[in-house]
Amino acid sequence: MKKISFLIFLLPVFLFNAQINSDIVIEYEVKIQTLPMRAFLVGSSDKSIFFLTTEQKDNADNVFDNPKIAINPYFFYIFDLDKNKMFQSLSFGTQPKVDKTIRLGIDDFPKLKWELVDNSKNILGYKCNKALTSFRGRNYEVWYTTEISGKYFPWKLKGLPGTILSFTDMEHAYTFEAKTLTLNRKIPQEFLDRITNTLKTFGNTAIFYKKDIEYENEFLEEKRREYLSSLPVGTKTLPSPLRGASMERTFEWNEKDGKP
Amino acid sequence: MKYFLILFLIISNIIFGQTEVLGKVYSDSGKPISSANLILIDEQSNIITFVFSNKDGIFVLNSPITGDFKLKITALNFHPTILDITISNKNIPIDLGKITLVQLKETEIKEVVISRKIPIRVRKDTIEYSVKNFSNGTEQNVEELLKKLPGIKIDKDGKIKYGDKEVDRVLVENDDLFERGYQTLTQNMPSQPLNTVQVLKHYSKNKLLKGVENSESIALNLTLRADAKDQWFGSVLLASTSYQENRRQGKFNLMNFSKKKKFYLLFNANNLGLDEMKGVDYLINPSSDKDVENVGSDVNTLSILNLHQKNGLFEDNRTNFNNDKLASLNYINNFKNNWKLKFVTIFNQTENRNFINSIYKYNYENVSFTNIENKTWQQTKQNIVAKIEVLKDIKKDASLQFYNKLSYLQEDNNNQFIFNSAQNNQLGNNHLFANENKLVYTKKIDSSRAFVAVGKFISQNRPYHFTETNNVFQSILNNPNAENISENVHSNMNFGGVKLSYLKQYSENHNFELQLGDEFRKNNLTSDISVFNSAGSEILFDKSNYENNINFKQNKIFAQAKYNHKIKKWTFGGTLLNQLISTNFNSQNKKQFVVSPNFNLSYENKNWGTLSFSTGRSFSQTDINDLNINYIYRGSRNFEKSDVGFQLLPSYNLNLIYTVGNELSNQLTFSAFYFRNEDYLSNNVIVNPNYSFFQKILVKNNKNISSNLEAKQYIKFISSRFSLLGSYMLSDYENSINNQPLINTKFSNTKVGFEMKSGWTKFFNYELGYNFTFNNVKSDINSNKYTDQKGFVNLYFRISEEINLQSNFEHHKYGSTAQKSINFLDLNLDYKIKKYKMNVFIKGNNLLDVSSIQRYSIDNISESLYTQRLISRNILIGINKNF
Repeated sequence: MKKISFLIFLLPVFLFNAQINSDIVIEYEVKIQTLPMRAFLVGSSDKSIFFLTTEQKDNADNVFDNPKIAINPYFFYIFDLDKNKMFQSLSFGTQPKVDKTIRLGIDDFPKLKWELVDNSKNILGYKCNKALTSFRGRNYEVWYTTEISGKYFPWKLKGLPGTILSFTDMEHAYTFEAKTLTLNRKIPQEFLDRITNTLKTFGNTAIFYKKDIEYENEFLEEKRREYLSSLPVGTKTLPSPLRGASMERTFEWNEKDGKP
Repeated sequence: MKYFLILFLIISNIIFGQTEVLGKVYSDSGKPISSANLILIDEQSNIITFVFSNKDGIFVLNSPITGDFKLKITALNFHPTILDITISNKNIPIDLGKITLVQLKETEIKEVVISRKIPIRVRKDTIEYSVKNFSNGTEQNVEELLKKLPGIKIDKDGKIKYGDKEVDRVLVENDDLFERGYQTLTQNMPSQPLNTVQVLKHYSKNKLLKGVENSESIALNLTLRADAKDQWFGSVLLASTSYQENRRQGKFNLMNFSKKKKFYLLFNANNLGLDEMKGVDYLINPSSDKDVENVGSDVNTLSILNLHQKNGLFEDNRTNFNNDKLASLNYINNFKNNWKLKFVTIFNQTENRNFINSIYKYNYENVSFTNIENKTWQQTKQNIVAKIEVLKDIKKDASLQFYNKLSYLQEDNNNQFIFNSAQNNQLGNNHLFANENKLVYTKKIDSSRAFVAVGKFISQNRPYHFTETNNVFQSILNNPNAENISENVHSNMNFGGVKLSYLKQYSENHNFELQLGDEFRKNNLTSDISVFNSAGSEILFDKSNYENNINFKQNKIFAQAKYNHKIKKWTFGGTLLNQLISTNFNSQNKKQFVVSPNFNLSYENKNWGTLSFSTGRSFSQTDINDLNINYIYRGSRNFEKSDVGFQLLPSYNLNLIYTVGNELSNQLTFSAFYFRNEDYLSNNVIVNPNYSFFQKILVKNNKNISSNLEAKQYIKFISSRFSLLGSYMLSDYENSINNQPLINTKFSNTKVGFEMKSGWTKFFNYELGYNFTFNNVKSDINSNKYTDQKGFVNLYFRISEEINLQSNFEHHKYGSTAQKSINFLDLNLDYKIKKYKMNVFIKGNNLLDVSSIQRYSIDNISESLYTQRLISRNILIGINKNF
């Protein structure tokens, strides 16, 4: 019995390996509010996968080998090119508020309007062009190369005719710089299986991002109250904007009423 | 070119409309390719438009212009293809049909890895706040903005904390204008020019020591918006009460910061009771920093006599009857060839008056008397300080720093005393001239090692003169004509010190430091006294007990090693200081060798919390104020002399701190300190109803214990913090009265109370608290117990973004006084007018018009009750404008 299940398990691996590999892995060096992090863009078949890690020692290899990634401890974004759907890990503040069967959110993010700028520079040996866009409360400067197809994209920066090797918001609070680019990388099947399994297990219960943000705002609001109450007596408290430091500060669904 | 293109696109779009280019992308094996990139490029390689193929490989491009183009088609693992196309007819679609891309052969697919080293711009020790994210434009100054940044706390005095650590410096564009007096900057600089606020952890003043020294210091760096650099801006504040109350405040700040030059001019004046000197205090005293760049950290400003008594029990705005003026100028210039010049000067004039009535009851050994006094203290001070500092970077790995600081202080006292109905006046003046010079050379040997040499020279000279009319010498000399006392006290000091330090950082939390040095000081103290009759004729008497001529020289050779290491959850370290101290006190030589070890250990665990323990032995010493072998009259009917001579005073300490929990939600902090003096200075007092003679004596073994407890819990359903506060203090000392055997006195003080603060984000917030302090004095002769109580309620109303109302209510009840409880109420209404970058405020101070407050104190021979006059009710209207 054990043997059979083993064979079943191996079957998709062989099938996959029989196809021509079309994988790309980009490792970005990240600065979030000057905190150092790492990010990976993994493009494989119909998935554009992007995630952040806080571990400085992470490189592509130990990220792929880390079984914890299946339960997305990091900021995790999986774009299904076939279904044209973004699955992403729930916000930090949302996870304790929802049922354990809910682990993913769906973000039906609006199509980005790109302004292509006549400016170029070289990154990792590729000629890159500059593009500008605005997305959910921040303006971004992006450098992409048309020498590699733009099928896969980091985070939610979709729609450029090339692969993004550097991007930052104009306040330089979030900066991503490609450090290593690997083409034709064979992504370990275990990693892809974990992605598939995650989507299979949690894809159906995924909640909409709007709901996720509601939960996160509630959480941030509670944290803000905790923080303000922890200040020494005599401190006149002035609440800071709720999502002031967040990457996504405003949302299309409440842009009308001006709320975050 | 770019704009031309955009313009062309817009125009052509309008005029010509768009042309569709369509087709299908297939692989050479006949399968459709999804997500292939199709990019339309003009002859100048500009991207005109682009599109992705869908899952059936179909694409539709819309070209807004006509002409000759290249269509670049890329897809992962396919050879890119470029097609030449010509769009000549507008609005007529061009169907390219089936486009076949040739798949890379398996042998051609090789893993390609391209990587680069990104220069490390990411500084782990820096946290940056983008001001735009936190500001809504209503902040009047930098401090108000900092209050909005998560993690930054500001106390009432303007001292900033990041987490639980105090911020040492606030820099503007990496330059330090105000050193430890940064409140001047943060409370007066408008926040609008700021771009970011950076928190620099493990900050080193000396940039060459960054990453080499074991620094826990934190600094803030304010960066400016590009359009605010090299611009003049500032703020002005004017406030006044009614003519009758006659209280005013004025502030003017003018600044200009560029990368090269920084300039800050400040003028402050008030008679509202605000102490304007806090921000410039750091300039007046010699630097007490204990780091490698300083030597002689225990050198203080000479101070022999104090003819002024300022209230220390209440906040300045209640008791400080003042009239202060302060002007300061700070200037920094960064020259091209790595030279930096820093110049700071202050001029200030302060006046303080303090009004106290007291009843003093003495009762010991069959002697008892009561003195009733009414004292009006008045002091005016003038300070002039100028500091010039030059810094030079020598190549990348060495630097030289030199400063010279000149200070001049003039103090005048005019005190009116009524002693048991007799008018006694005291007039005094003194001035201090101080010159301080320091030279520091730093050499960074490599990324983990550095060498620092520092040399410092200080000279101070302080003559005092004062006269007092009273019956003291009438009583001492038994001469009814001896009415007026005149005394001169003169003190000067020269200090020179050098120190060489070697620093080594083995890893991030593993440091070693070795210091070798020598400090030399020479003190001189003379005093003489004269007594006159009312006609001004001197009354001659034997003055040998009232005149001093003290010479004191000291040389200290020292070697100190410091070691610090963190291994996982354990941190340990210690210092070992060896000193060879040679002294010459009035021609008597003494040589002593002492060793002062210090050890600390701490353990940190996420669940259990952090436990820190430290212990050490140290030596303090008698200074020039303890060496006068004959009496110096200190004013107010007290004489003092010392019989102890030069002494090293050894002591031990043991400290324990325990913290567990999360700072925001629930945390318990407990600390306990034990301090034992093997030898300490006490007094033998010879008491007479009209005067007292204090003789300093050396007494053995006293102990001090203190402990603190804070348990705080965030209560979610009311969004408030509840803190339980407790403290305990016990000290004992021995003193002697009229040459009798030593009397032991134990003083203990136990405080329990609570505090609550809301964290509401809407229009209202509150703070409230109440505490009891149980005092217990127990001596061989008598004992006394009394309880003090204090409560407060502060309310904050955010009526709108622009209008804020704050009310502060305080309740005090002192045990053992006849005075009933007293209450203070202050209100503050603030209206911000964002458009004009200004705010208007009304402050109602002491609205319940409490005119005085009584305190009671007791020691082993006496009780005293004193009544302190308070600043009466006043209503202040003011305007604060940024420009």
